[in-house]
Amino acid sequence: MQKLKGDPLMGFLVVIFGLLFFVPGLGYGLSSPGNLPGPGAGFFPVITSGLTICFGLWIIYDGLKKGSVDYFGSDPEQRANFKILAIVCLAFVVFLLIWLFINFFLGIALLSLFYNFIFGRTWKFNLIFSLVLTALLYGVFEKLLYIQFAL
Amino acid sequence: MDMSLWWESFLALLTPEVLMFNVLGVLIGIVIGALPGLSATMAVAILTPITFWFAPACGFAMLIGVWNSAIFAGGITAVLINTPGTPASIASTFDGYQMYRQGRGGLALGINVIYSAFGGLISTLFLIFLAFPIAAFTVSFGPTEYFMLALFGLMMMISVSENNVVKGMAVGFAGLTLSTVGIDPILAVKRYTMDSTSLAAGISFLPVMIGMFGLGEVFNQIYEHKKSDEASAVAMIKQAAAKLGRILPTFKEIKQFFRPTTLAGVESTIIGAIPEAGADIASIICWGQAKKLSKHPEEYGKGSAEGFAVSCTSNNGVLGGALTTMLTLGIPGDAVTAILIGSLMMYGMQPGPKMFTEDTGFVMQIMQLMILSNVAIVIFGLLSAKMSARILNAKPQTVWVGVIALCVVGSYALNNSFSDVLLMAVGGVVGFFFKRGGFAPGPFILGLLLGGMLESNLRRALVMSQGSVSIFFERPVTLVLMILIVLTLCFSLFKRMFKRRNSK
Repeated sequence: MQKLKGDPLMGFLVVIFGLLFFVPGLGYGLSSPGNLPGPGAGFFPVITSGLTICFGLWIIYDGLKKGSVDYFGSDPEQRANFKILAIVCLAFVVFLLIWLFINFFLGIALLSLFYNFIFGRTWKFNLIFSLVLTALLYGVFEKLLYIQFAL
Repeated sequence: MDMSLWWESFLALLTPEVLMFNVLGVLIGIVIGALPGLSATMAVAILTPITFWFAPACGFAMLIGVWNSAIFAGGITAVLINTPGTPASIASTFDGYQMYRQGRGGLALGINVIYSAFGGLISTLFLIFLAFPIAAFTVSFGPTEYFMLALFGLMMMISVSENNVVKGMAVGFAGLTLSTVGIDPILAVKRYTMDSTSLAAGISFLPVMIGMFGLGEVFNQIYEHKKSDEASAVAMIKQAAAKLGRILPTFKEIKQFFRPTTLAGVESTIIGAIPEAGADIASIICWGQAKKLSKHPEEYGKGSAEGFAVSCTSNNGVLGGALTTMLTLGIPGDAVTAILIGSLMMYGMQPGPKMFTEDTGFVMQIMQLMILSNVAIVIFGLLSAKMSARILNAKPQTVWVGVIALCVVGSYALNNSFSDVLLMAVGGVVGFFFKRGGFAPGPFILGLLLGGMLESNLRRALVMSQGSVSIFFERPVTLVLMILIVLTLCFSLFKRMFKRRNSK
């Protein structure tokens, strides 16, 4: 069985996105209420989401007829990077939770330490880099620009 | 033009803070532009929310500095490793890398600094002399003209669609659709807000943009990174830094370059002012034109210092043109000017003719900052010319961690909003999938940015005409703009044909 390629799937997602705006847009009204002149609140979103749907369908058609872009290639070295990318994303979520519940600067220091670790940097570099990055962010943004990172 | 106003605004710029931020911007731009994979767009996108915390003059001093220097610094990698640091430096690889291979790498780096600044200064002069008359002409514009102007800006969706126009248009209209979230501009009806107060204010384009251009790019680089390529790249960079030779051109060379580079400066300014065109196409056109007019056309593409000076001039020559269109009409000439429009909006200013009457002093300061930035490029660019080869030693992993941290801080700093950080993260993931699938993020951002202007003016015009579309054909300027849009579409087709023919 042929594998489902990316373009029809992305086209489908574009169509869904368009529909999410198109259907409620009709409910906002295409013309103004009462005797007011001009179009209603739904006029513009219905046009733009309608065109989004059309182009989404075009992408699906192109993908099925002419073939799709190979989103993730077949290079084994690059495919292995998927795991690293997933870890990077997961670590980012953990960082957001640390920021939300504990402290931003602790989160950013741990994030930097962890990223440098998975990117294979030496411990010496990792420690110095994370310390300098955290100190710079603290000094410039919290102390100099008075940006409050506490949520 | 009132000279006393110019003088006053210039004196207001000459403060240690403004100069410091301008120099800082130039230095950041040199580093970012010289690193392959990092673009001027990414740099300006990440720094924009941070500069919001400075005074407008300081913030813009930094952004204008970054923009000008990142474009020029793209030529550093073009010379040393035959890879344009930014798309604008594509033509710089034609002769720059050959010059380096012939042992004239230092001279190529020097020419890159001097002639990029020269191009920037020529285009700024055009900006200074043309922007005010254009703005005076456009000050009487009404909703129909503004609608046409926004539509004109949207034509950019095609040019920033990269290789697939259908995908570009799809995401462009998705961006336009997303711009309708929030309160309706005419009837004040809540749309798609799901009773959330943060959604009632609309989707802020800056966090989305930072996510797509910053985080999305980093994710893509992590995915594409190959350890096997790393060793050969390191060897190439070490070799590049080894032997560079003299930096400054001789007086004879400067005299020889004067005519073609001046012409390239004028040409690229005009090309830069056309919303559809970009620095890449400008430098290719100017280089081709200079080759035709040169006494030594056979040397072009084989290490011609003259050809390289022309491509460097046109790199930065487009910036003044793009800024003219942005300031006078409120239309973004490229992705960076789209972000700069957002920055001005952040400061409560609306680029367009009104800005020339309401914020005259600041408009003048933007122009003067362009001059200061180019002067700073010459000073710091020449001082760091030989050192700039070392920037290439930075490991991509180091850059990734730094960029991720800056994306977080940049998206949060704008409104002290954690939901903006979440929006940025979503933008990053979407941007990654866009990259993998050949969907350019530019049209999406453009749609999100111009959606409000397009909708409000379209509906105002239709209210004025009691719903009749004939209003768009009754006003002469609107008609002229409509014709220009059609011509721009034709130009876009011509540009695509030109590119296709060149790639064969």
